[in-house]
Amino acid sequence: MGVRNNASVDKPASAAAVRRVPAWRAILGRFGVLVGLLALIIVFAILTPVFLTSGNLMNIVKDATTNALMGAGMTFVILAAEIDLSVGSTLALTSVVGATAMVATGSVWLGVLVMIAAGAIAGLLNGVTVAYLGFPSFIATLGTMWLYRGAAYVYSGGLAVTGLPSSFLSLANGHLVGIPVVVFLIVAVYGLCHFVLTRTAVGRHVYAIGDNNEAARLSGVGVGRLKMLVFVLSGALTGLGAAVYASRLFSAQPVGGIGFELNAIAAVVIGGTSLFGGVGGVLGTLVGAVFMSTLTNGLIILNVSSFWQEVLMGAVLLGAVGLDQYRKRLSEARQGT
Amino acid sequence: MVKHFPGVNALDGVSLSVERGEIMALLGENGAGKSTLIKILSGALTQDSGSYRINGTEVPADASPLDVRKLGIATIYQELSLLPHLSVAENIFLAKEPLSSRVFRVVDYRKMNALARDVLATLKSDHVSVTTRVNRLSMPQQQMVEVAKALASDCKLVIMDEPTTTLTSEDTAVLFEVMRALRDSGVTIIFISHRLEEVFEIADRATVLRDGKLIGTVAIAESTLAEIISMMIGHAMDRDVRQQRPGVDAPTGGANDLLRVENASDGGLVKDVSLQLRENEILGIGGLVGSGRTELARALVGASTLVSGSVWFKGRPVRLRTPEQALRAGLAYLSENRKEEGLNLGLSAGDNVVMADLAAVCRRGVIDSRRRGEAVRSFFGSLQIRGKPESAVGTFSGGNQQKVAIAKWLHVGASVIIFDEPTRGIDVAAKAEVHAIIREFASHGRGAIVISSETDELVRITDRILVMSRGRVVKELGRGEISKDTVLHYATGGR
Repeated sequence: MGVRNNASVDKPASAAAVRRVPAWRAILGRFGVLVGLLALIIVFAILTPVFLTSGNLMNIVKDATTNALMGAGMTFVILAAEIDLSVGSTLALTSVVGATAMVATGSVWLGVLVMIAAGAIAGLLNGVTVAYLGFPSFIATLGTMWLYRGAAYVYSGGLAVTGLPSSFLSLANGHLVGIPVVVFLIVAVYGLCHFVLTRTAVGRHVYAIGDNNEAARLSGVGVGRLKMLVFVLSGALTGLGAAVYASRLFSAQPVGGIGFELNAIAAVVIGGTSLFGGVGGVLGTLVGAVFMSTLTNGLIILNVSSFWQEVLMGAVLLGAVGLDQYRKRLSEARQGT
Repeated sequence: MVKHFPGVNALDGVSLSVERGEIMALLGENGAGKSTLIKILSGALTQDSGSYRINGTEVPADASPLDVRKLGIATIYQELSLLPHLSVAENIFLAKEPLSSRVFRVVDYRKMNALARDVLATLKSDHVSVTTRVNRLSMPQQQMVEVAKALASDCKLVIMDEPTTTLTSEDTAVLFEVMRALRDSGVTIIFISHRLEEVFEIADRATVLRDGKLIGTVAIAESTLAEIISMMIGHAMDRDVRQQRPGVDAPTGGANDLLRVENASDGGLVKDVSLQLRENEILGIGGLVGSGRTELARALVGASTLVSGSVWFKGRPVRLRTPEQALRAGLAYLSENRKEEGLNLGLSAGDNVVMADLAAVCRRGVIDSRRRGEAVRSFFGSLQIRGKPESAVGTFSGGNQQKVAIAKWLHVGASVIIFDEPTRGIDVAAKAEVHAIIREFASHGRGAIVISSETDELVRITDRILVMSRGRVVKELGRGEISKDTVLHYATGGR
């Protein structure tokens, strides 16, 4: 009777707790960001007829791409209960290195590959410092944030790399069967990341170490290896983001990407991934990134000053964190504790 | 086998051997080296010297937990090491997920869930859904998942570190059945418990450690409780019986009630609870795990909210909304969860003692090291806390940690302390000391409430017992009515 008896004692209490939460609030708790994004789109659509044109919607997606790619990698890092502050600088460094290779060889493909590889190497350095030297990732990547930025200045002499092949333009600006190339890129990257996180051992172990690092280690999860991997992934996806960014600007800027690490973290958090690790997912991050670029885009069309844009962005971030807290309380109520 | 820690020899030349298909109990007081030994066996710590073998295979000294598990040793730790946000099946097969694609390491969820259901069925826990997130399960259910996790790794040796601490007696019986079944199928079990009755019920042999040294191994069938206790503490000790305390009057509901609660509900489990505590009284609260005892205590001290009911403290109506207000009034709660709620493990023992009332050791708003030192030293002396006040309290043994946690509330000058499972996970000798501390506390006009799942403990030290069941007080047992049988009778739903 033992276990069963206990279960029956627990259940009425938790069932009662669930009943107290109305359905619409539960839905808001679960899909809050998506609901917010739809609301935002409706508001802008009412306020300005330009907003819902296909050209503008494509602009929103193009604007979101770099942040979305960096955010996908950042999601892995944050799920593992780490942080990567170096990605903004990584973007600058990889773009100047890759662009130089592109100019020298005339090969767009090679240039993009160099950017991704350079990003992976930058991530590897972060990963080694965190996983094997035991630095807290906040400090380790704060250090490499300056290190990579400085390296980008030194490498480029502080000057933008220009003279890229014109075919490179089509990465960020081109269309395939009427759909922006970057949409295919985002679908491919996010599809893959989502699959890895939800269906593969590697992905589940990322959740495991973010949830309880020591318990995962004692269960035989290769914690060090996985931590390396999430930083390498974050770096590599930043390299890919750098390619899109450089393509948009048609040049590689050593001063580019300042503050982008915070944008990526914001996208992850707005998307509902917990900064404490172990909870969340990559699809929320995509919604978060699109949300951010939608807000900026709409406000620009409405001619709101860029000063006020920042105020509103901050309010949105705080709102998203508030929603996260609310969601946590809901799930605790459901557990009946 | 030798293991040094800063300041202590945690383990000093211990040798032991366990045979295939036997249940070996590993016994000893807190700090005797049991936990260190099993951490080495499981690969979580590395020994300084010495070696061990399983089935004749030497385990390398630098083996990781994964290497050790591959050799067939699975460990179930005292603190459950499950991942709360992953599903039951994912926890059971963590780091050994069945894969549908080797190359891409894709998890075969259908197979994994089916295998998890099979394992749980052998544990008679098939009512636990394998896709539930672990933090939705009750403690005993989580314990079963831990056992399932060990079983699923197809192990030859299972080490269980106090698996029954959080279980009710019915759940313990189920666990023991499983352990016997495992033994009969040729699996070896090393079992650590502070409940010696259990050891006599389940174990074949017992090995006793003391101060990091091996004291001896005995066959349970040829040994006695008294023999094992004296091996553990180093000298013979009479089992304490119910202590007679100078008579405390039954509560009158009058002005000299220290604490009076009427019709308290917390909006959740706790419903309509009334109680009185007299000066100098030790009031016991009994009941099964999950009967609402802890929830009641937390609501009383403002750690959660009391949605209805009234509270009088020292004759005055009070509304305690936060633990801070409760402490200022003189009502303290000693958490059952020492490591997470009771202490700041990384801070020194001294810091923990004075933390809740720093003003008392300050001079002109600045902490006065002389006053602080005196306060800490006096508690270390009066409570016989063994350890250095400057050391992190996390390095102390369970019993000494608990004394530090109690010292914190004594330092605040609390007049009522609610002791929630005050002796959980601490050894026989420290238990007796904690009991003496509680008795000493409940004098000079102060009062104690003791919540315990160990009926023995309630019977031994309390003056009066309230039995809770499903969030309500179902029976009050006065001085003449207290016995193990009556408490268990009402706790399990008898009338």
